[in-house]
Formats: sequence, structure tokens, C-alpha cells
Amino acid sequence: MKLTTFLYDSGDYSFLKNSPFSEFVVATKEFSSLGKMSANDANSLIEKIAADGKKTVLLIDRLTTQSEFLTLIEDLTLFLSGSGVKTVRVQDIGIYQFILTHYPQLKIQLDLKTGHHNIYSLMGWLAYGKERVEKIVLSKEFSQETILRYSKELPTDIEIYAFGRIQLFHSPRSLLKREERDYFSAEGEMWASAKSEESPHQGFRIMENNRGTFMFHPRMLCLLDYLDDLKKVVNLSLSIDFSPSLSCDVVTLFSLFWSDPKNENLSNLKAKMGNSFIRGFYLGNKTDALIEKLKVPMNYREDPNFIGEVLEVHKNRAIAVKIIQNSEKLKLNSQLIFETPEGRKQKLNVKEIRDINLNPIDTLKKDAIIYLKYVRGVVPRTIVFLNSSQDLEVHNECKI
Amino acid sequence: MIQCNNEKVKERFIPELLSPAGSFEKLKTAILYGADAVYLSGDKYSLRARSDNFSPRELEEALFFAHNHNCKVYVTLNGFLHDGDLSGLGGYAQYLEKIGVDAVIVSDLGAMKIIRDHSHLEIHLSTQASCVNALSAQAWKNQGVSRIVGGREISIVEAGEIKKKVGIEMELFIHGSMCMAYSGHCTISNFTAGRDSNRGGCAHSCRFLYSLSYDHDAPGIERQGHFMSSKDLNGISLIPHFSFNEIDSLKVEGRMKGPLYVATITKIYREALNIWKKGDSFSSEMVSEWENELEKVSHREYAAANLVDKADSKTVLWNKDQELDDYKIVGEIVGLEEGKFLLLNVKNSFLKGDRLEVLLTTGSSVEVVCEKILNIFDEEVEKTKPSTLVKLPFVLNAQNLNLVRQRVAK
Repeated sequence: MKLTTFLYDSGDYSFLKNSPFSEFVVATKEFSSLGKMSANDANSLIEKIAADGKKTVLLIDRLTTQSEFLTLIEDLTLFLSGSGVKTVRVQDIGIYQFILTHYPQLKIQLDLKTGHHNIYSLMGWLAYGKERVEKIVLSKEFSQETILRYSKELPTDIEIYAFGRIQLFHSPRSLLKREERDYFSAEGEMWASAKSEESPHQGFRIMENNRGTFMFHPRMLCLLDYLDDLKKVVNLSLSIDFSPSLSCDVVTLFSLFWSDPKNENLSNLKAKMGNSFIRGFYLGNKTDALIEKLKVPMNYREDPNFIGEVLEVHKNRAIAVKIIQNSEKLKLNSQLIFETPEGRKQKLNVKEIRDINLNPIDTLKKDAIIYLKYVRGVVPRTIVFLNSSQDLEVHNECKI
Repeated sequence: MIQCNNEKVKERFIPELLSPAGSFEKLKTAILYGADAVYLSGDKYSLRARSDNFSPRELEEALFFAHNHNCKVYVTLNGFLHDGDLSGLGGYAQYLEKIGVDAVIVSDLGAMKIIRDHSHLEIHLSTQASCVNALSAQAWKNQGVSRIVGGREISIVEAGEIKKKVGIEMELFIHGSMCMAYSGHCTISNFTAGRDSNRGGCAHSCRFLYSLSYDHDAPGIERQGHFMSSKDLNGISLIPHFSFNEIDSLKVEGRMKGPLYVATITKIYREALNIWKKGDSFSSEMVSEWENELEKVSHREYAAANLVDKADSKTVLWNKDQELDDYKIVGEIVGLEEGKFLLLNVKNSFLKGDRLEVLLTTGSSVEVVCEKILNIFDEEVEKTKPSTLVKLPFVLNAQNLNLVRQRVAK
């Protein structure tokens, strides 16, 4: 199992140099959304890490609109021409297309962590890059079972996010109003904590930089409690992000846990990070069940006997029905079933039908409003069906 | 005034007006008030789990109704589908093709592949896929997409450029609620409410009121704000720009919104597009009148978001999030007796003597003073109740499904 981590600042590597990580994702100000180091610093860092015999990956995860895309490409071309980058990690499909077309020598790590939640999607984008893709970054929302299955089905390495802050969104807008508030930190970032009475969680961390605004979950993600299971997954890399708590102590504690993965060592690491942790969707994606509950199909429209809906009820006098379908089936002497919103059923033998002038009629049109005799218990929004079995007791009706 | 310059009137590019159809009722309303196309969802695979989505029978009826009115129907299959959601998608695609759906709107390559393998349906890429540059559009085109619904981060000019470079149809949102985050990349609901925002479960946490403590402020200082709540999009005055940049389709957001919203927005944009099609310029009076009408539906404060310039901090509400209601719907015309009366299905109560407006399909709305309200038995009613039918004075050119509204007292 390989370990990957992120370098946002050129100084980050000094903490991580003697750690179990074999791959370092380098995030620059120019090409990534959260990077703080300049392209020049990144160049030197990539050389330094290579000299240590470890692998670097240039992170290009900016979503760039058409007008800025050309500038990004120019900067990237310039950077790649003078750097030792051999592998890039891309998120935007446009950048993926660019690298595929213009840099046949570069290996690609495809970041599909958002918007790609099924095997066909993953396989499709993998096939698009052919043998150029060396690794796919999977969604944080996959369960243990899905990760295991994908590791067998995908003909490439996979990476999951196993430890660190959980980014909830990225907006290109200035939500904290960084410029209006006339505040710039040394890194050009502005931070705030947010809470809402309407949310079950408090203490969201919000950060704004020159790429927009980012929101992080109050808790961090930790799948390291399941390390024994994860080690059984073939071709799996774990990515770890110590931000914003990266320090010598944190890396030391992580290294200790990695060499001796006992609970006590993990607890010490978590305590040092200063956050509480969740396991996210690792043991199951509970949104699957909830989505089904949210959907309330209106199956009555599929019933071949569905006629329409009650619009108005005049107690003891009449009810108005809007004919929605099967207008040709409703005739004098038909029997109707009324199903109220609470599910109660009543029926009516149709002895007379009247139009909106209350004149008797015997033929109906779709979308017509008709008046029938009052039926006890029927309320507006009651659904009306033709009764094909005629097995319900008939309620007596009043005259219109 | 927006000038026509020396362009030839006959060469004006007229985009399609694409309205939301969250239910059969709203589909009819959208078409009646001038939509060229509607988008809707079947009973699965969509992002609007709580909308009154269309059952197969309703869908067939909707297609019949729409095509009889020369209106196209696009079906959304734009949830980010998980493996378990995909069973049946191939058969559903075949069914949609068989009944004559004009296109499907899809977010991910997996769903796209299954649809392509089972049908020849035209595929539009959902805004959820955040396609914001030409190379991305090219990659999606290579996958069989015929139209891109641009990410909400791109401008009209950028969309036009993508179209020219790639040779693909472009669709942009022109009106309605906006996500402040990159669509499809927001997982607040997923991680805080266990609801997958990208499969129809969005909890709208971005609309909440938050207390913010800035790290650089002194301890204890909190700022209250709807800091994540985007203002609503309004692009009515930008129709000439959409036309000049040959944007193929103008999309109105709002499958979850009511019939009055659908009717009002569709009608106004239809009128504006018709004026533009005739070769006229938009006078400031016209734009002002349309803006006034757009104020009459429930909405947040309006902004142009990214349509012209990059959306800045002013496109976020911060200080208030209440939807502004100038008008409310009081009912829908469900029947009429020529020259005698309109039969109104009451949705919100009103009183004898109240002034109402009948929102005709074209032209100005017509004021009706309710000097006398009668029920179906011709008995006078002092105050109407929801879920009753009442007779209003007859209005020339009114027709079934026209909506009746009333100014809200403030």
C-alpha cells in the first residue's frame, strides 16, 4: 500500500522528508486551488524530492473558465518545459484533454472524486486516456464494499482519501468578502468559523483565497481505524492531508502509527490534530436509503381507471371533479371510487353529471370540470377512479 | 437602449426558451406562456427528488401535449448516479426514445454510456458536470454530447467562444436561483445531513443564516450573514448578448417553483425574445417594464451572476435571504363561459372588492375588480377559500390555465 500526501507550501516537505510517504502531490498557487507555493519554489522542491528518491505529482485542480484557460495553459507550458515533472494530477476534463494531446510523455493521475460515482463513468474516463492514466482518485463518498469492488474491476491503481480535513465545497466567489474587508494574510488567505442554528453541525471552517472560497467540515475524516481491511485492497493508495495542522510532531506520530498501527498510536495522532473525526461513508453510504424516501411516486396516474381529481366540495350538495384522463369511460351509471388524501375510499353510482353552468350533460371532454352529487367524506384533492369491480358499498348521495 | 448596430434583422439568432416543468400542470403553463422547450424528470434518475415528477403515463401525455404545441421535451437524468441507481437505465432510455423525447440531460459519463448503448437519444450535458472551457466541451463532444449546459461560472461571451471553437450547441441559465459553488462539487448536504445533493437531496444549507467569526477579528466578534446565499439570476436585459453570441438555449431554473413563477418568467422572456426576433431594439422602457414584471414573482434579489463579468461578493445576499413577494397567486382558471364568467380554482383566499390581475398568455395583464364573487350555485361569497371554485367577471382573451394574481399588501 502506497502513501500519498500534499505539499501546499515549499516548507512543508521539511516535516515530511523522513516519513513513510512515497508520493508528494505538489500544490502551487498557479495551478491548484489551495496551493501556496510559487511555481519557482515548486520547481526546486520537485528536484529536491527527486534527489531523495521519492515521487512528485504536480497538482492541476483549478476549474478554469474559457477566458482564463489560455493563460493557465501558457503558464503550464512554460512551467513544464523547465521542470522535472513526470506525473500530473488533473481534475478538469479540459486539462485532462490538454495533457493527453500535448504531453504524451506525462503520466496522469485522474482526480474523479466529484461527479463520478459509478464504475461506467470511471472506466469511461480511464479508457479515454488509455495507458496514460496511472491512478484514479476516487470519491470520498464510497463505502468499503465499493472501494474493494472497484479495486478489482479497475485496471489501474486507485487512491482514496483516508485522513484529513473534508472540503465541502469550492465557490469561485468571494464569500468572505476578503477584498472588501481589506484583509490579507501572508498567504493571501482569510479564515473564519461559521455556525448556524439551522445546521446540526457547528464550527465549519471557511477559507477564502484568490481562487475563491472553500468550506471544510468541522470534523476531519479518518479511515485509519480500518487499516487492516484497507491493506487487503489491491492497488490502493491512501492519501493523507495534515493541513492545517502539519507539524513535526504530527508527522512523527503518524510515522509511529504506520510502523505500529495500534489504537493508542492512532489516538495520539488524532489528539495532536486537535479535531474530532468521522469515518464518512466508509461503512455505508446512507444517502442511498434516504434518496428513495424522498421520492414519492404518483403512481395513480398509471392506473387505467384513473379519472381525475376533486377540486371543490359543497357539503351535502355537490363536488367538482377535474377530468384528467379516461373522459370517454365516465358515463351515466358508471361507478366511481373516491380515494381521499388519507387513503379512505368512498364510491358513487353516477346518476347525473353537470357542467359548470349546472346543466346536465352525458358526454365529457378531457380537462372539463364536472359536478357530481356530494359524497360523504370526500375532500378536495381526492383522487377519482372508475370502479371496475363494483364491490364497495354505495353511499347515498344528495341531489345537486 | 441596446443598439442593433447595422446587423441585418433577418440574420438575428433567436435562442430557444427552455422552461422548467416540475409537474404536468406547470408543463402546460410553460407551454401556454411561450416556452420553446421544457425540461422535466421522470420518476427517477433526476436531481429534483421532491418535485412532482412525471410517471410514464404522464410523460407520454406531456409529450403529446408539448409536441402538439411545437414544444420540445428534455428529460433530466442528471443525478450523479451510483452503481445501484443504474439498473433499468438502459431500458428507460429505450422507452424515452420510443415515446419521442427530444433529448436527455445527463451529468456523468457512466449514465451517458448506458444511454448511448441502448438508444440514439440526443444527449445534453448537465450544468452539474461543470463544463467551463472549450477543451472540456471537446472531450464531452467526443463522448457523444450534442449540447453543453454551461457551468454557471461562465459568461455569455465565453459560452459563445466555446460554441465556435468546438462546434457544439450551448445552453446557459438565464433566470432563477443559483448555486454559489461549482455545481456538482458541493457536498454540504451529503456530509452534514446524509442527503446526497447531487442525487436530488440538497438540503439548501447554503441558504441558512450563519454567524461568522473571522480569525483576524478580536475574540467574541461575530458577523451574521447569509454569506453563502447567491442572489437570483436575471438576464432579461442581456437577451441581445445571448443572441449575438449565438447561445442556442436560454434556460429558466425552477422545477420546484409554482405555476405563477413559471407563467410569469416564461411570458416575459417570450415577449422579449419576440421583440428581438422582430428586429426591434430593447428600449429602456421595455426593459424596465419586464424588470417590473419579474419583480412580481417570488424571488431573492436579482443579479447577473457571471453572465457578463465574474460574480463578485455583491452577488451574494449576506444581509437578507427572504424571498421577495410582490404578488401572490390567487388561482387558476379552470373553466369559462364565453362572455359570462371565468371559473377560478382558488389557491389563496381573497375578498369581495379585491383587485386581481388575470395573467394573459400574451399582452398586459388585465385587472379585475371583484365587486361580486359567486360560487357555482350563483350565491355571493364575501371571502373565498382555497380549494373552492368561484366565478369571476369574464375577461376577453382569458383561457384555461391562465393564472390570476394579487398584489401583496406590505
